[in-house]
Amino acid sequence: MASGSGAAAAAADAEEKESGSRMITLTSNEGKAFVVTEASARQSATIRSMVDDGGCVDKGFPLPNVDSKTLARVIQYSDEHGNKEPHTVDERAALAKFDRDFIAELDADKAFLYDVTMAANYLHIQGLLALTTQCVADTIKGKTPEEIRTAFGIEYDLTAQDEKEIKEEDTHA
Amino acid sequence: MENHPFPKRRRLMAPPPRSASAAAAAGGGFIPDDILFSEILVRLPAKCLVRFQSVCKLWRATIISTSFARRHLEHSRPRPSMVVMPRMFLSNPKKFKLQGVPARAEQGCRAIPMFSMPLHCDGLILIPCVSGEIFVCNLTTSEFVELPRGSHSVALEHRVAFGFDPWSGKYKVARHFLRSSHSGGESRAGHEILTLGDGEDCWKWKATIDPPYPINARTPICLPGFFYWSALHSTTGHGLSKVSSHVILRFSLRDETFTVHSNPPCRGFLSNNDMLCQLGGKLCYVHSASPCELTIWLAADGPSLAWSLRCRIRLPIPRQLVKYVIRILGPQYIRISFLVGFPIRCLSIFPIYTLVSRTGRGDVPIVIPLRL
Repeated sequence: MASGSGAAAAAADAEEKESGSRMITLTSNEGKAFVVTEASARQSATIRSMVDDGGCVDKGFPLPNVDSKTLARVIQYSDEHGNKEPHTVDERAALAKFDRDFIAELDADKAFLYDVTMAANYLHIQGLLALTTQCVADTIKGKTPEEIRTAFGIEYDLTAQDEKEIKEEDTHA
Repeated sequence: MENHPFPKRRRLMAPPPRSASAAAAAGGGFIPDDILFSEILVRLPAKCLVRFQSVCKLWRATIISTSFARRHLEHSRPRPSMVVMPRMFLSNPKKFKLQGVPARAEQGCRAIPMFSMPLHCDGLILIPCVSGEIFVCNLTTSEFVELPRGSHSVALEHRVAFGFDPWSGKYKVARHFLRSSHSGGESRAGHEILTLGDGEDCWKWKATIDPPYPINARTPICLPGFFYWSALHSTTGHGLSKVSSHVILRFSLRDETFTVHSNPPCRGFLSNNDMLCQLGGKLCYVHSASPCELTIWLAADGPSLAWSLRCRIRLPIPRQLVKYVIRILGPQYIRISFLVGFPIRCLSIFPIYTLVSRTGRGDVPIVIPLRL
C-alpha cells in the first residue's frame, strides 16, 4: 500500500516536473523570442488551450499583435503568477503587493497600460485583464461625460431628443 | 496559418496605427470599443454609468442594453450588498415612508401602505402592500413605480412572487388571489403574472391557469425561472382535531404551469415554526420541532424536487421567533441566525444569535456560537 502510493506520487511528480520544466518560446511582432516556463505561459488561456490541444510547443508561438515591450511586461506578470503558487498568508500578501506595484507603474503611462490591456485580452490572461481594466475603470470613474469624450477622442452626437430622454430619466433620481 | 495562430481574435488587436505623440494628444491612447464596453465599463458603479449615458450615442445604447446590464450584474455579484428598509411611521399609522427612497412627486405618493415582506432581485425591490398595491423600486436609478392593480381578491392575505426568468431574460411578478363565489360555494384560487420591461405584453396582468390548490399566505420562494408557493392540500377533522396538509406548488416561468410537490418527510404541514427559504440557490425547508431543534432540508434540482436532509442542529439557546437567516459559507459550513428572547422586566428583547454549523454525512454537526 505504502509503496503503491509512493510510486503513484513519484509518477505524478515526474509528470509535473516534465510539464513544469518544459520551456515555451513566444515571439513578438518584432521577431524577438522570449523563452518562458510552461507554467508561466499557461497563465494565458489562449496559449494553454493550444498547448493542451497538442499544438506547436516545439515551434513556439508567434504573437503577431504584441510588440516586444508589451510582451516583456506581460511575461513579468505571468512569471510572477505562474511560476509559484502562493500558499502562505505572507506569500499571498507578497503577490498582492506585486500586483499593486505592477499596476502603479503601468498607470503612470496610459498608452502602455492600454497596450498591456489589449495584450491581456488577446492572450486571455484573466488576472492581468482584471487588473488593468479595473485600473482604467478607476481612472474614468470620477470623470464628467465631457472629460470622457476628450480622453477617448469621442465626438458628441446626442440629439436634443436623446438629451431630453436622459434628463427625464434623471428626474427619478 | 503559422503566422496567424489566433485569427479569430485578431480583430481585437488591430488598433488604429498611432504614434506615442498621437496617443498623448488624445489624452492617453486608444482602447478598442469591445474591451472598453465588455471589460471596463462593466466595472464601473451603476451611478457612474447613469452619468456616462451622455457621452455619446454608442455609449448610451450600450449602457441601456439588456446584455450590458446582465454583464454588469455578473461583475457586481461577488460584491455583496445590503439593503436596509426602515419603516417610519407617519401621522397616518397605516402608511409608511421608506427612508432614502424618494417618491415621485407627480404620483403624489409620499407614503406607501403597510406592506408584507419585500422581495429583492438584482437590485430591484418589490414591495407588496397588504391593501393590494405593489411597488417596484430600482435602487440604482431610484425609479419608483406602482404596478397596475391585479384582479380583486376576496381574501385579505395574499402574497406576491418576484424574480428573474432566464428563458425570456425578463423580470416577472406573480400574485395569487381568491375569486368571490357567486353560488355561495367555495371560492376559487386564481393566479396571474406581470412582466416588467418594454414589450407589448409587459406591464399587464395576464391570467395563468389556476393553482391546483389554494395558496397559503406565506411569502413564496423565488429562484431563477421558478416560484415556489406553499398551498393547502387538504384538511381533515374539525376544531382542535383539525389536521391540514400542505404541498409545494412550483410555478415554472417557462411554460407557466404548476407542478405539485410534497413537503419534506419531516412534516406534511408548514407550521408557524417552519420556514421555506432558499439556500445556495436551492429550495430549503427549515423545520423546528422544538425550540432547541432545527433540521434543514434541501430540494434537489430537477423535476421531482427530491428532499434530502442537509443537517440537524441542536440549538444552544432556544429560539424565540421563527425567522431564520441561513447562508452557505462553503462546502461544509452553513451559518444560521435566529432570534432568541430574554424577558427583561416587562420588555422582551430579541437579540440575534448566529452560529456556524458544519454539515456533512454525520448527524451531529459542530456548533460554534459566534456572538450573542
